[in-house]
Amino acid sequence: MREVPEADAALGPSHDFEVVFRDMAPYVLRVLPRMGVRPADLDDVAQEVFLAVHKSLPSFEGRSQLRTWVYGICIRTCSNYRRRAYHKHEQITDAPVQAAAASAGPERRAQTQQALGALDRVLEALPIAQRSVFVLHEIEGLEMTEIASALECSKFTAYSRLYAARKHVERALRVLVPEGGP
Amino acid sequence: MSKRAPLLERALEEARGAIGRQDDVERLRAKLGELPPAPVPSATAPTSVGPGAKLAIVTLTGALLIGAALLLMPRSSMNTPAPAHAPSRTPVSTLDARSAPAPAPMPATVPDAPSPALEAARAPAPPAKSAKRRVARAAEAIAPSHAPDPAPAELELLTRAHDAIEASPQRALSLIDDHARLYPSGSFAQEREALAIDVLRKLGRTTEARERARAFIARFPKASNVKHLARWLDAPSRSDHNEQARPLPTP
Repeated sequence: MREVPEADAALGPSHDFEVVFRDMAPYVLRVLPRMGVRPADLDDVAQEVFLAVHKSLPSFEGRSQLRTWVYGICIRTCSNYRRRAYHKHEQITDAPVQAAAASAGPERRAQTQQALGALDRVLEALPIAQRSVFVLHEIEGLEMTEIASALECSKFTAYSRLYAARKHVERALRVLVPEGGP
Repeated sequence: MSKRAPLLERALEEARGAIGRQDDVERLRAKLGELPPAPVPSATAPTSVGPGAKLAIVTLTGALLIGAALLLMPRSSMNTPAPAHAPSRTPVSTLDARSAPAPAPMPATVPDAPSPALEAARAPAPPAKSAKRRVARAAEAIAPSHAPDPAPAELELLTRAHDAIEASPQRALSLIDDHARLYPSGSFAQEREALAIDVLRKLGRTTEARERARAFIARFPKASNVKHLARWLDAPSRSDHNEQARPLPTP
């Protein structure tokens, strides 16, 4: 069962930053690596996201769900991050974070790392727009209507990106990870 | 919908489990430190660029992009949403933000180089008008793409059906039937069936809508709208032509 934030259910009409932070931070830390933020930069980029959330929270009018709004900020922050990395000619692939695997055994941890590493390498080859839709839908569990809202595109554009991304990811994973592994 | 590769499912399961740990959250909170009170939004907050000037900039940008789109795009491709890889926060794409965050209050003076946090939080303009939507669509269409659209013709047909729902549900249903005939198991079969249920309800053909909903649940048991459909099916049935359809969630 996928874990999803409960930001909107837990909050009243006025949003308290601390509550939003506590509710959303685990998911922001999940989505950023899948959007290409390398482990060494994760804290800095997450900080950027929450500074933006803090700044704009008072003017959040609830026209989208709060979690959708936060995810939208994550995507825009990642776009900026990737652009900055591109201008600095940095390669932004790296070892995947091991957040979930830390409490597991060594074998499980190795499998997790291999699977996430393969997925991240595959995602790295996707255009940011397709990657965003794929990650928000397949990993974060957002509905397509929410994704279209977060990415400011039509629902059908979001769908076309999702299907293009799925096709790419499935094909590439078959090449990257041999049968039987992880 | 095609069965997904087990390998992809396994990788996704791992990714879904990778939520931030409590100590990572605490470290991040400490890094954020004491935050100043957030500014109170004010409609009269002074800005260094007046609303008239902003409108002129937006209009000029829009006109330039429409021109560029018309020059660069073949006519036929304007109707098909193309995958874009440009960041969504281009000045034009923000024009189509129907439910995006409200504008952040502007500081009294706008710095030359806004901070990344400010950039990320900068909100889109108010809900778009149709001309602005066309600009956004044109900008989307001219955005460069690495991957080809998976099923442009299929998608275009379904988009036309979607666009026709309000003005002519009968026409929408006819296009949906065309889609079902041409692409019975296409990439968008699930969306087509969800759309068909909505249109049938809109037309008051509740019995058919319910039959189609049952078939949908059997065919796509993992779709995100299944529980809504099931709830609707469980509700006491009202006669055809008597049920004003409220759109059901699409997957």
